[in-house]
Amino acid sequence: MRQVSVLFLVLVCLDLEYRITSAPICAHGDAGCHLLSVSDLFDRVIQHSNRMHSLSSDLHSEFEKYFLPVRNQIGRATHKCHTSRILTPNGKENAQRTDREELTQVILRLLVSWMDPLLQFHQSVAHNEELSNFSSNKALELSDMVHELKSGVEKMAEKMQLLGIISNSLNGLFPAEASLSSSASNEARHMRDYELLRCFRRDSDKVQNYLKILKCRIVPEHGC
Amino acid sequence: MWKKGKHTWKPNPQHMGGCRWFTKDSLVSFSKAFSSKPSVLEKSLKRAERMKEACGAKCVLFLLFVQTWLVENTGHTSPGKPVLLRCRSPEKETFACWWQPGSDGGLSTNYSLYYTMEGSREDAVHECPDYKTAGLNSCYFNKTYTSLWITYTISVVAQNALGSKSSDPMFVDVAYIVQPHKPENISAELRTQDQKPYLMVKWDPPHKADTKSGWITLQYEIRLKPEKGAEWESHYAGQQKQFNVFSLHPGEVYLVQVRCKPDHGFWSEWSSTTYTEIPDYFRPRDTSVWILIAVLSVCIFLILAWTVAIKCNSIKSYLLPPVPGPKIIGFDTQLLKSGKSEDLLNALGCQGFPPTSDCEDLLVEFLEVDDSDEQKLVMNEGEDDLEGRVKSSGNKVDNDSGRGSCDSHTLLLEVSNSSRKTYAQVGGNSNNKGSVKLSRKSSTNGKLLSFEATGEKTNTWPTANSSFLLARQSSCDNISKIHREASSLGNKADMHGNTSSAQSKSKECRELHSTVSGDQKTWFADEKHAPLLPFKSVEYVEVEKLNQQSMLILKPKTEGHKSVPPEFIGQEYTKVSGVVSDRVLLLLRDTGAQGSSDTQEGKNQAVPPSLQCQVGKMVGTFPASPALDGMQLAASGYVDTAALLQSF
Repeated sequence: MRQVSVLFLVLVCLDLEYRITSAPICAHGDAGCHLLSVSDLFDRVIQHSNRMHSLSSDLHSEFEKYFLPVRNQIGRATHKCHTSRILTPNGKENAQRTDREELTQVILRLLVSWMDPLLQFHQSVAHNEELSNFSSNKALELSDMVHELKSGVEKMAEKMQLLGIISNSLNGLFPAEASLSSSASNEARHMRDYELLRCFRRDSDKVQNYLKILKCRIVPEHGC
Repeated sequence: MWKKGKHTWKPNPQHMGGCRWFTKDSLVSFSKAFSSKPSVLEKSLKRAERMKEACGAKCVLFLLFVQTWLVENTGHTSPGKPVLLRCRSPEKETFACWWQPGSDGGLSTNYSLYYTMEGSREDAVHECPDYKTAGLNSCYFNKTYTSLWITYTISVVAQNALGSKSSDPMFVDVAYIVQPHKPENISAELRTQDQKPYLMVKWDPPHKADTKSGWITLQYEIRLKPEKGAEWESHYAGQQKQFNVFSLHPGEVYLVQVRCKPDHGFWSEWSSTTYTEIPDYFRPRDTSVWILIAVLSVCIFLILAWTVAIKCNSIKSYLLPPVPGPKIIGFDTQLLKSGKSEDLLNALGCQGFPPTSDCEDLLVEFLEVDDSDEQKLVMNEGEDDLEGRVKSSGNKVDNDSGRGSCDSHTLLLEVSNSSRKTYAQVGGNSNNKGSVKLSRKSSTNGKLLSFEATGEKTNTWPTANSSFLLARQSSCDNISKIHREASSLGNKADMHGNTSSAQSKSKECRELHSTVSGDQKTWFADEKHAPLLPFKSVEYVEVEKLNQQSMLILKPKTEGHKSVPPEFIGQEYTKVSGVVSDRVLLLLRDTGAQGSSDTQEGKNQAVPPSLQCQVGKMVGTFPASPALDGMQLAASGYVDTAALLQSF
């Protein structure tokens, strides 16, 4: 019995250890290990963006049902998306021509520019009694996700910069992004909800696509 | 105001008040105007409006009437409203739109597609760059004209001579209208895992979809059904390009199909069908059945083995019945073992031993001695002829089976009907094999008795020093007869040289007993040596002596000795009174016959007519007194060699 209990304790400790140190086993300074972790980061980020996009699609379709604008009016964007200023590659060749740093920058810009508008959106949805709780919950989740994704992509960019995969030219852009986003967010307040959702749905798709392109360009081993 | 003229309407001049008169020419020109382009029609309509202003309502009605008439007669109208069906992009790089034309109005109608892009100016209307690549009533946008994440506003305008019609606009974002082509290179491979078969289905994405660069991410779904099945069984495969199907029925042909879908888009069509046959296989369930059968058979086998082991003996006796040994009816082996010869012989039915009177049909009358080839007494073994007929039982184990009560391994009685030649050869054992062969021929029933005694050492008889002649027969009668004969021979060949054997030639059986010891001299003859003369007729010999080479010397009996006392005619028996120095049998004379030569004076005992033919018993009949001075034996004595057994 004693042996069994000792064995059990050892196993539990090992298991706890495993849980605590869930990071890869390899230590710093190992090139192969770092690349592996970049791949893991990419996977996590892409998963996150997938989820975000699906959420935004659900919300968008829900808003379409509620507001039921005439079909002709849907297409007519009375307002452009506030992110239309950000130059994004709109084709495969364009995206492949864009270098890694710029692509990463575009992704970050997009994410940054959506952080505030989504927060406002959530607040407006929460106050709107016509919308269900499901929608308000999703809106809240959406704003959280954008924050998480943005931080994840930032970490990934840092890692890549450490490894030399991308150059260190990103750092100078962030302050500029902040100013852009503030002006953009002002514009976003004027947008109606469903238009905002439409814009966000598109931008999340862009983010997802760009991330995938980056991943298959940098770490093409898994799933490309 | 119109007068119906001949196919023409003529204005009635009488009713023309306030209206302009239409001349025929103007009417013709008016009708011509209808067949012209719509713009012309519009112009004419405008003119009609002007006329209406001038003429009023009636003029309008008139014009409408004219128009309707023209339509009925010609069947042309403006085109119907086309409908945009769908726009699809197979790889998120190009796209195409299809529409359904409305009624063409009987006139050739043109369809043109116009689109505007989001972010550009409102009036920057573009027309479809390619009407042909995607087929009829389609518009194809190649890479140059395709931009993602931009909303296209597309509409189709149908136009004919009489008018044009525009469809409802469709708003298209190319990123969301992706419908890829079918998956390609579908292969279904049958594999086994733990003796269970499963189908490994592999496929490739459509070659146009660029999944390697990450531009498109596809999800797959496969479905399969048995060839004769009704419903498809679908499995979602995710983003992997292979799938293992486990729920298979062996012995059927399966149809497999695969389709794919981008992250947000439309499912492709089902791919071409792949046929796979699942061969019949030995199911694990059947294996367990076989194991059960094996266990049952082992149990049954064990039960059978146990049963056999228990009933071993009875089965053995049933399958292999023991071979019965030859048994003498009425013979009891236990009696023999117990040593009671009287009971044994009684059981055998021996009434009198030696037999006295019922031996007429017996064998030997006389002993013929044939000396044709020898000049003297042949003391050879005579092995040539007789041995072929006589078995040497020197190596046989002496047991009761197959023998008579007076068992003897040394003497074989052979009865043959063939030859009449008898000869007596008394042979000593020059080579330690004292054999006396005596052949007796019976003239009555043609039996030949031949005796052969081997003096070899045997198991039961301590014949180191003597050999015995004993008849071995199956019945006691024969034995007793042989004894008689032996006694007669012994009578004739005894020391007394009695030649009364000629008279003792009778039909009665005689026993023949002679004991010749290899180096003993039980036979005593007179000192005279007489060779054995060849006899042509029946004669008797007497043993004269036994010479150094252990040869019996016989001499014929003369006529002078024919005066056989009548006592010799009958069968006489003599008891052996004793054995002297292991070499001499002392015979007891008969009481009534001669008393003179009886050296065993106190031994006048009647020979019991039934002498027990048993070794042990013979001992009992021996008188106890062994002392004998002389070596004379009774004339009418016989030697029962069986008695000698006990002395050894």
